[in-house]
Amino acid sequence: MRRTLQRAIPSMFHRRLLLLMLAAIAPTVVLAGRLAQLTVLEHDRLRAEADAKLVRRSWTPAARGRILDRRGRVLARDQASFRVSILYSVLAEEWAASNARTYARRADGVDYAALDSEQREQLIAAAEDALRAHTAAMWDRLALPTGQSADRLRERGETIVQRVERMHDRVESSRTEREIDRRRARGERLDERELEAIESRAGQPIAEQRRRHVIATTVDDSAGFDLLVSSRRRVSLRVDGPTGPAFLVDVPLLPGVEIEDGARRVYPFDVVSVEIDRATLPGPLKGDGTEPREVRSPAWHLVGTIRDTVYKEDSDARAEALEADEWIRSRALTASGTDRGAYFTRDRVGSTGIEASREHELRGLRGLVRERLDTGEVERTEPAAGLDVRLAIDVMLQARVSAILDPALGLTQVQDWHGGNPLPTGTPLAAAVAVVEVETADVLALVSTPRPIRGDEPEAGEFPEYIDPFVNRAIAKPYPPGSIAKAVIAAEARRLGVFAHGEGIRCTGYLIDGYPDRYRCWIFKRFPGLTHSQHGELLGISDGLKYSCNIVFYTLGERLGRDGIRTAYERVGVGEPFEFGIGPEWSGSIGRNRDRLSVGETRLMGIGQGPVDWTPLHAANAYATIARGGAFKQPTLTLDQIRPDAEPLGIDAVTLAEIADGLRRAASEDGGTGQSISFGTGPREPIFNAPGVRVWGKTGTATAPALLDDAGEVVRTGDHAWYVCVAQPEGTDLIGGGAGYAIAVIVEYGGSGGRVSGPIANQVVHALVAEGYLPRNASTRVGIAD
Amino acid sequence: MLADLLYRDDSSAVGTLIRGSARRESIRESLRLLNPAWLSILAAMALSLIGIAAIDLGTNEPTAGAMDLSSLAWKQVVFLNIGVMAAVVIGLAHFRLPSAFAWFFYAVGIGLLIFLLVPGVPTALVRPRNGTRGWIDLGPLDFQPAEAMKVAYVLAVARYMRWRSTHRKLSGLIVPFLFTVPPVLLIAAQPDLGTAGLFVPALFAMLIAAGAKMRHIGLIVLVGVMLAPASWPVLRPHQKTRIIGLVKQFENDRSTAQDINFQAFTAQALIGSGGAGGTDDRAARSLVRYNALPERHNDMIFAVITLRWGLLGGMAVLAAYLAWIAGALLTAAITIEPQGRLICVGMAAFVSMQAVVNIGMNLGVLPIIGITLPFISYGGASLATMWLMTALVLSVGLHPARPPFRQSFEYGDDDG
Repeated sequence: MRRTLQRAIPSMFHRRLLLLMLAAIAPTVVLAGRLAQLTVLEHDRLRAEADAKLVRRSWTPAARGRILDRRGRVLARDQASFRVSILYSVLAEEWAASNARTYARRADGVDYAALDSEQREQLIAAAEDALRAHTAAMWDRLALPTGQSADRLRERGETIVQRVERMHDRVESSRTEREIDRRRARGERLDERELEAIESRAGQPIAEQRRRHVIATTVDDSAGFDLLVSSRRRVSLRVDGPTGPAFLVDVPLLPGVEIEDGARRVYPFDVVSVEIDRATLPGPLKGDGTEPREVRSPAWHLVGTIRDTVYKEDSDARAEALEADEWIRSRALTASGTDRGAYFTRDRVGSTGIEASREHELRGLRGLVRERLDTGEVERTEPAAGLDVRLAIDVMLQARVSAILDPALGLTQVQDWHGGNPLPTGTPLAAAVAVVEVETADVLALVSTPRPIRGDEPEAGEFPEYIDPFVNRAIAKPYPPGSIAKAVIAAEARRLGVFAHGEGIRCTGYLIDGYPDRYRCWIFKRFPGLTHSQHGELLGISDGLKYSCNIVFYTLGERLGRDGIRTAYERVGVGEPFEFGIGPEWSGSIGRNRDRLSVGETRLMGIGQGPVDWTPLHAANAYATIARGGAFKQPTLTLDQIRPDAEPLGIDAVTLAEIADGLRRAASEDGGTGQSISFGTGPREPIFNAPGVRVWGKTGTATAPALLDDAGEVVRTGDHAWYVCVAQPEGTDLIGGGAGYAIAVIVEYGGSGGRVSGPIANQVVHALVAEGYLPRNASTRVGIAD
Repeated sequence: MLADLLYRDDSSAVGTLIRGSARRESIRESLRLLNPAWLSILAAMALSLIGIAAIDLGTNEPTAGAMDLSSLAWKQVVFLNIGVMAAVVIGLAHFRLPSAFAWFFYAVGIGLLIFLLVPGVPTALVRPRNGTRGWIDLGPLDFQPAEAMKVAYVLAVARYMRWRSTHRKLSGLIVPFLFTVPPVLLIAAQPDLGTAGLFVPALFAMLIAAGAKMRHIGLIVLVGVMLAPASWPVLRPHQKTRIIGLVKQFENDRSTAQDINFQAFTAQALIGSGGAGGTDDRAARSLVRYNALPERHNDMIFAVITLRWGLLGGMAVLAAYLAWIAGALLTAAITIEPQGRLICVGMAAFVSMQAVVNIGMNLGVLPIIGITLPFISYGGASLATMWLMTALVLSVGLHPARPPFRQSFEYGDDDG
């Protein structure tokens, strides 16, 4: 090959030149290939990428949706407001001078290129004057929408300029000193010219002189929107040019002005005033007149909070929601596939409660203005406010119940008349209340004490640290049901045929012959030798519930066996999550190991102890189920979701009537466990005292495990105090009455259900009356105004 | 008048200058008018005109008319006129004349490169641009010694090697390399690695043309390649960033599109946007402007050309460079005088390397380093240097050697 080449090209130099030419051609071929790849194979993609830069997108803010209560009261809303900011050069009156030449060159009605230099300067000077006048007029244009006088705004602008100038002077001198020191340290000689050059460089504008400064905040919605539109308008200014009139074109109506979204989230029911009738309180707390109480953040656990920091998880969750939900996609995506609800760095995001779980509905969709920079074409998509979310909660009822649970009122602090509580009198007690409308299973109130207060530190002073205010005790903390479960057990025993109609059980004080210290009835435990069958009576469901006889329900638990006792709880929703989306929930649990319940455990579960737990909402809903004629409904917290149908549990009418009778007698007949309380030496006082309202109820004093603090010290012992009841207008029947409200109250380590939780349940009944859910007398009932 | 000047038996200073000797013959007789250097002239003119149009595209308003050139484009027109006029004068003069001053030019060039780096030189005279101390501010005109150094370097190496054959030994390569070290180090210290990096390939090209053994060249290249990674620690952070940026480009890592690879990805997007046949004038201007391509009238001007005239335009530019190089190498081929041969080869090496590196970085196959596109990029110093190189090639083409020159750099043991 080499020889052939040598023969063909005898000159070595020429052969070397050929080699060099080939060396030049080779990379050129590579470059040509790459060029072809980019221009032909990747043309479409790269053109789209380059074209995308021709489009300037600007977003217009959208309001976040509101959160409403069942009566349409606004619990959370956006207070639309805008901020007006202005470019520093405009504030410093430099803008006209620095832009005059640009506008003069583009002026209509005069051929700039054809002007001589003197004429050009003349035109530029005229343009500067016109722009200066135009900028001065801008203050008047801003005055009305911002609600401030033009002079006030101008003054504010001057203050900003003075501040920035001072800042610039400081930066300039420090830059100069630093540079001179640095150069001298390098051994450079600095003559006068050099020093001038250093100073000139140090005098370069600082960042504050290049950006916009806020001149007005909290500009209201409509004025802000008008300003937003105005800030995008462009006008022509007439000037006297050297060859006749000329027009400076495309001058912004509001030079250098930017209108930014400054929306705030407000919670109008974060501070609510309610009154409590002191005459309705139990004896020692009773007084004259009403007690005004201010309730703060009554619905904190439900409504939740927002934050203005966006995390990657938020964007990921949004992407997932868009992927999964066609409806969200169709609302949020523009024709070109841009998500109008995409998160920007300082966006507001739901952090807890409904604000977080319904984020994708509440989130507003920005408006989009797409402007083709080369053609000036503008395409607008208007912003869409986020959707409203309506809760089943009545915020005023929620507030009233919150006031009732405030330890300062006295019902949720240890009282002498509570009896037997090892904690000192006055110790605040954690508590929770759930109120469920029987007919609909709507959750009207879900209150947990203590709770966080928006904008404040948690109430650390009132409750000890080991009682966590962030836990929503009404749905998120497991409690042993105690005796309130007895109604549920009775219903299931009848349904499964282990307790026949007409059958009775004798209370023998203790269940197993020869073992008087095991499976005792509460009466035998408190008054040794005493039973509920002193004369050999057989107790049916009604008596069993009235007296809360443990022997009856140990027996039923044993007869139900491990399957029956499980279904007893499962059929009223234990083990099913509520899925309310307001943070952690406890769905309830049955048995440490479902298949290994011992006979002893089934007996204990018959009286609501042993390996079973639920929450106050489970309890309220279980009683609502009984009142609904034995038809189960999942409780609902939001009104905009499809409610599941009621599911009949197959409890016969006779059984339901017997249960109703037992609950009525327990709450209103002498000798009923939940009928009255005594305060030491005085006469017994009925627990319920709302005229025109009848209550079917059951107490529960549930043995609870000791509470330990972080250091492992036992800080609370004793029983949880339950009271669960259904309140209806006087004269209606519990079963099929259809107008009741199920109330579950728990006071952690409160002791006796009747004495501690009973008065709270009574106050909740009064709250229902005050809010119009229950009548003030027997003959009328106020309807719910939507 | 002109005919009189060309055809009379002129012994005047001008005639001597043009003929390169005091021989008694007319200027016309002394000139080889039909020569391949004109190919380089034509290519240079085409590239320069494309450059002016592209500078205007990159720097003018999108709505500007075709004849309403931007101020930078007008300046480039002025630079081109000066460059062409200077080229005519230098091209007519015999290349022996500048060659006679080769050592002087080389020394002055090195002196100026040192001057740039001397601490304490007033910034009014040497003002760093983008951190590089490469320009001497002469009022209306900026002078870039590194550009002039390219020409001085080729003249010096050509002068050194013209009668020698020592470069056929490995040890004989030392001196030519020693010529290369000062400009490379001084320019790299500015720091302008792009320009510094052009000298070694230019030397290789001249050595190959002068008949150096290919195995010696191969050995040096091999050692250089093996030692290259060792230079990583001494690279400055921005230089490392550019290399990392190129790696990210190869990985198609778009996360860097807004920072270290903004320039590269934007250039490629614009190149690709041109498609096969280019885009119309207004669209091209808008795309260039709103894509905010940095250095669009300078280092990244190839992207502007391809956006406007597409694959065809890009290919035309590549072809024009090949034509320039072919013109220079053919001129070397018809010249028997050794110094003229090496001048043509050296100039061709500089132009081709500079074009390949610049276009390569525009196309995303080489890291972005500050290097202009010959004849096209905006800048008086760069354009003047390129036309000076073209003029020297023309001078070699116009002035055939007279006997007793024999064919130079011809050896019987070619190992290439």
